[in-house]
Amino acid sequence: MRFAGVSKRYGDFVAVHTLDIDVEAGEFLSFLGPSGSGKTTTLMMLAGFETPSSGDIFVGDTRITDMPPARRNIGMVFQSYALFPHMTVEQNVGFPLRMRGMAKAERARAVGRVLEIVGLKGLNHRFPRQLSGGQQQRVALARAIVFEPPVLLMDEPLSALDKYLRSHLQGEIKRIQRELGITVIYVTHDQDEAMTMSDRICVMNEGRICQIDAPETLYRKPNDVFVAGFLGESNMLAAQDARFEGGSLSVSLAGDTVALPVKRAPASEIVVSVRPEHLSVSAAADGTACITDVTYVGDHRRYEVLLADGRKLAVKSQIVDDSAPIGPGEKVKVAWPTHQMRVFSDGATLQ
Amino acid sequence: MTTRSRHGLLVLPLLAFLVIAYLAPVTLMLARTAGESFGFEPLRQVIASPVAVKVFLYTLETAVWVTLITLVLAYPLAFFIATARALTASILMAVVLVPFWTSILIRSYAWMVLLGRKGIINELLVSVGLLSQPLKLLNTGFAVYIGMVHVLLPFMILPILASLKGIDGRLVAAAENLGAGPVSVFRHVILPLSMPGVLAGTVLVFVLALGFYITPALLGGPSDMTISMLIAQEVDLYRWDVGAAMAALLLVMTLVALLGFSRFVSLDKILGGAK
Amino acid sequence: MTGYAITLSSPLARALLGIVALAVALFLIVPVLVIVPLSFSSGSFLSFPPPGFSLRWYQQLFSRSDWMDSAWLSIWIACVVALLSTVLGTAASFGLVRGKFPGQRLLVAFILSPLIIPGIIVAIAVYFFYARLQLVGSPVAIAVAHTALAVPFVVVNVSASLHGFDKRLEMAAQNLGAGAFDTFRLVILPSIRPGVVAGALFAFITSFDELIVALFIAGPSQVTLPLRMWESMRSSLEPTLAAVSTLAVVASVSLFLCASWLQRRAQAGAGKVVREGA
Repeated sequence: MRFAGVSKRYGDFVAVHTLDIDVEAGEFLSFLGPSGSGKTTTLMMLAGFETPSSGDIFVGDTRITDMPPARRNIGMVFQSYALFPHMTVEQNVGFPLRMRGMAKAERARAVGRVLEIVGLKGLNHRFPRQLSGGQQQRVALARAIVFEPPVLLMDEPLSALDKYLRSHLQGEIKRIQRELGITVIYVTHDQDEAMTMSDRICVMNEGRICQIDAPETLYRKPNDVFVAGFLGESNMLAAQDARFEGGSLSVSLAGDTVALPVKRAPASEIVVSVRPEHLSVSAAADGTACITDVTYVGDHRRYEVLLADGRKLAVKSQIVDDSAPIGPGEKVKVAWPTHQMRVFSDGATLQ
Repeated sequence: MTTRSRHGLLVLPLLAFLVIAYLAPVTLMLARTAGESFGFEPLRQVIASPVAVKVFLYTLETAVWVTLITLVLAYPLAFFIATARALTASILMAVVLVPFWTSILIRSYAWMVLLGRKGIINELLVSVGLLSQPLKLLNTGFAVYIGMVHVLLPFMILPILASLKGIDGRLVAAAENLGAGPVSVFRHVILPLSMPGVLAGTVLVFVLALGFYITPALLGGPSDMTISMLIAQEVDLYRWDVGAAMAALLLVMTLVALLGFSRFVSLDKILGGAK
Repeated sequence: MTGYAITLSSPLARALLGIVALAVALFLIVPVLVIVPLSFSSGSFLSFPPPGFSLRWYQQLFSRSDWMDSAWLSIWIACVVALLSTVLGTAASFGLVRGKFPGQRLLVAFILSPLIIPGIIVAIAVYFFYARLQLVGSPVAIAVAHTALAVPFVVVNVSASLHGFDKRLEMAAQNLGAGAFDTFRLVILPSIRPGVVAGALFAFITSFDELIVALFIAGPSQVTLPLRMWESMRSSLEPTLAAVSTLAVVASVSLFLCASWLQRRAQAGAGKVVREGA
């Protein structure tokens, strides 16, 4: 599946800037971003409910850009499921087969098979309103895969469910995807969901792709300042007195000078991001920073640190022994993990 | 052509139908107002006729009074329904809706039966001894008012009830908690918040009252002639152009009333107000 | 509705309000109910209380061909009106809810205007028009004029259903391979059916009860039921009228009960219904 230079404008408003994405067969790709980032619009263009203002979309070698939704043969699980309320489970799941002219008996067999895959055997004659949220979700999934589409789209499919059910169904969806070898395009605003399920995540913001990468790469090596701030927790610090010398950038962070390995010279202002779990603090009488708050969170302690220049820093400190916490008001030194810090200039990484 | 404008094409069959069955007849009728030589003779004739002027004034006056009486009667009932328990409220709703669903003709007939010289009310009053001889109730202005108020009450009650039901009871509780007595709560909280319904009902009732025909024709006397009745009479006398001119004036009055009120309440609200 | 209804805390205010409300309620309902015992009266005048119980007025009604012909004519016209206004009105509601074009608000006002415009205006306009076309006296002509009056009820009800219809169901149907016709037949229509049927019922009643237009364009051999009642009221006030009225009230109320029950089922925006008043 491929997006080639696809964009979407509504009048002067650009909902999606030029997109170029290649998705491999059998891949699980998530679109992740805040609401209004263009991820749903992208999905709608793929399903055929929105027409791109420019560019083309391909499934395999077939150009589907102008194809009506009914002829695209792409499965889709809608947000809040869109199950037909006046049809039973069997009729809902059989609907796409009926539209494809499949005979009744064959249809019943196919429906039975797919209901077994999603774990809904025996509920054939129930109506959607007689099912729990999780069951409705499974019916929606069954309906979207029963006609064996090469690509399955899922638009926030689990957002209406409670936390426990959500993580259970995440596993189920992954299992079914692996069993069927289907390509899944998954839209979500829940980063944990995207992290646990996806082969790759496409982080979007304001209609643009920020970065497409495997979850771990995105987390550890964000190429974009938005990704660094959006995925997980990061301390974002503006750095001063930057000097670029031979592949290294030295900057001043709250009085400490830190040398960071970079690939190119910064263009303008520099932002440094550092994860709380990569930082550490140690009590020191001559320290310039100061602890303002300590919270015990089970496996780690969370310190709030006031830096010399008045900025605040969050630090997660693993609890490995019986050492006592550093109390509020104590002076500390911050150890900067130079290899795990990311440097951005104009929003893009220098590394 | 976009999908949305293509969907819009579905309006065309109805539009074509209404243009032929409704707009064209009304337009042609209004065109008669101009007269044969575009001198607007029919219109001048109407304006110069003392009878017509009297009928127009009578209709306006009746509409104003009927609207006010309806409002005064409707508000307490609407308020009571809004504050009543579920069972009481649904019984009272049925009491409002059953007449609403009964045709105007039948309701006017019921009042004829009640108000006639040998009608139920007279018989009852005479047999109890309150009256020595039956009163003339039917074919009077009084009967017209009674009948019109009866027909129009639901149109006032339903929008007021809808806006009263929309008031968040916590606001009343909050006002009381802040020290407001029942009168202040009503004046400063409930009444202002129910104004949209009051306005919608008032416009609806007034505009409908302007066009009344059946009820005054059946219940009124010779002097209780409304514009609609006069128009019908002119048409029966084959004075079609004069009838058309009167209809044009009635239409203008209706539209002026609607547009005048639409500064305070949207037309959608008026149309959507009466459930 | 918020679920927090307003309450009256003062018992005195409550009692006073209750008395006024009861009086108004009686004023509303008594005239409608009073016809019922009269229709079962054994006397030949409209005296109250009736001297005894009998079904003679109903027997007379059903044995008189003029009343029966009028009833059938009115039912026939009302069926045509219901069918025509439902088809035209449902299609138009789609156009209005789904489409977007200039002048849309004006068009809605035009379609709904028969609800507000005095009946006499439409009646004489149509009368002049049909007189020129020599169509006065044709039941089809009555049905056409009634359709213009009835169509707003269909548009209001179907539009409300369409507004309440989850558009994602339509997208799902298309995504699963349904074309425009199948999507309408299998997914949209079943969901908006309560609104469509409610609209059709309102259209039926509007035509069935309509007098003013019929007064002008019905010929001497096409006397609709309201027209025959009108003539009878103007002349004799025979007790047969009480029997007709009772039946008509029962019929209207049951149809309306069906319609409003359907309306409530027709999801959001239900209850947007106006009955014309003159």
